Amino acid sequence: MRLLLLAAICIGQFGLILAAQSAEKGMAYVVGGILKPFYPPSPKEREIPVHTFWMNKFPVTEAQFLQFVKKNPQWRRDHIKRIFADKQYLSHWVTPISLGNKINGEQPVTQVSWFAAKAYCESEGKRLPTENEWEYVAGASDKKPDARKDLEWRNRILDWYTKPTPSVFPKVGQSPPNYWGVYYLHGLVWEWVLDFNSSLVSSDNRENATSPDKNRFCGAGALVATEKDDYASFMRIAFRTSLKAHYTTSSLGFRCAQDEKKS
Amino acid sequence: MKIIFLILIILITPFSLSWAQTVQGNSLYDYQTILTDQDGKQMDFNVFQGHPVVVSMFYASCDYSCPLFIDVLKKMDSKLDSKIRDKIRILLISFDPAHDTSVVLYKLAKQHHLDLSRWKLVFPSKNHVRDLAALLNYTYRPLPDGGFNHTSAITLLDERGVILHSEEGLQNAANSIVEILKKQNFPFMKGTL
Repeated sequence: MRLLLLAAICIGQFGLILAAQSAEKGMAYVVGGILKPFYPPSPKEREIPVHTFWMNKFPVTEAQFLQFVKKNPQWRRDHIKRIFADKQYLSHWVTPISLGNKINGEQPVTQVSWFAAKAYCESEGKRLPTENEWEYVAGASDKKPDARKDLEWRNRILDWYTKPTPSVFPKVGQSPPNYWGVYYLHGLVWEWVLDFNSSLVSSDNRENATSPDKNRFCGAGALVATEKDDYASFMRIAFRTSLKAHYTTSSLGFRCAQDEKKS
Repeated sequence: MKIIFLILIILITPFSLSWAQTVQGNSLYDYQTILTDQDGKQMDFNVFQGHPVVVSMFYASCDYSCPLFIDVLKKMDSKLDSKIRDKIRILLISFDPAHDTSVVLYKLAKQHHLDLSRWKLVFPSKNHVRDLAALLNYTYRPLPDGGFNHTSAITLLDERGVILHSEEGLQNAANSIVEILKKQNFPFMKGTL
């Protein structure tokens, strides 16, 4: 009996080690905590717990996405069903299965829809990060897990938001990592999150049963924002709420995340 | 006899193929998922393929707008010409598979005296709720108290699953759909109008 138990523990631990190794590859371990959202979705949600999870250190690259498309031909630009991606999907590649000379494989992939990004992560046994997870990690500077009140850091981020999209993206991972070891949440591309379609800027269907659109204005929302001068956060929310799941743009990529394995 | 049959099949096949190709690409039924209805029966998302379908998403424990939501749809249904109404199907998809079991959905259907030969209340698998919401252009968010915050919309699909109309705001959407159904021709519909 004791032997069996010992064996079970050994197998269990071995499994744990394997899981940890697979997750560690290219992923950063993010210790959970409390997110104080820039824009609390309701009075009860000024502090949102974020569980410990893994996040890709880098956005998914062109070369990685090409491999995925080759293995999963239903996601080729010439095979994809129109409901899953618009006509610009991967249109910057020279053919449906080659990047061409102008694209470096190390650059972040863009021109991908939410459905495609989600399918990519699922093919690796991962998922897209939630908006709360993404914002939680994105609130860290290189030294602090929560730098949201650090005005100098905030201005550096805003500086990127004011620059136009470069015609050639730098390779991923050329900036210093943040506190969690995650690169380029700011400064490279916008990124899809799992629940991009969850930012209901103010209109609660239960409160406004007769007029669901009544409160869908920025002004009404800005009144409850916690940091009224955090323009970068505001722009991200505005950008996400403008998206639909089949949209693709030349500055929108993604990275994957994974739950912390249960021991 | 057999040969004639074979020739017929060969003749018909290219047409059916070319039809399938024109359809390919914007039918929501390209998204494959299993739904469970108020009777506990499992079915594909395209269960009503061949009929125009009015689709909306909801959750049953919503005390405020849910009764209103079903009333608006019932009123919309009653405004249709009976010949059209017979062909229309109504598919109500729950955001909340954890709570909206078949029993809950059946109770709701009975409460509102829904004609279950044309209406279906269904729940998707937990992992597919967000996909369906995305396909139908819903914004939704689970709330800490177990409810959902969501936009209210009604979508009209044609017989092939292509979106003919989608509008936020229940009353306006219902009115628009009544108007569209008065004029719309459904060339691929099962049976005739």
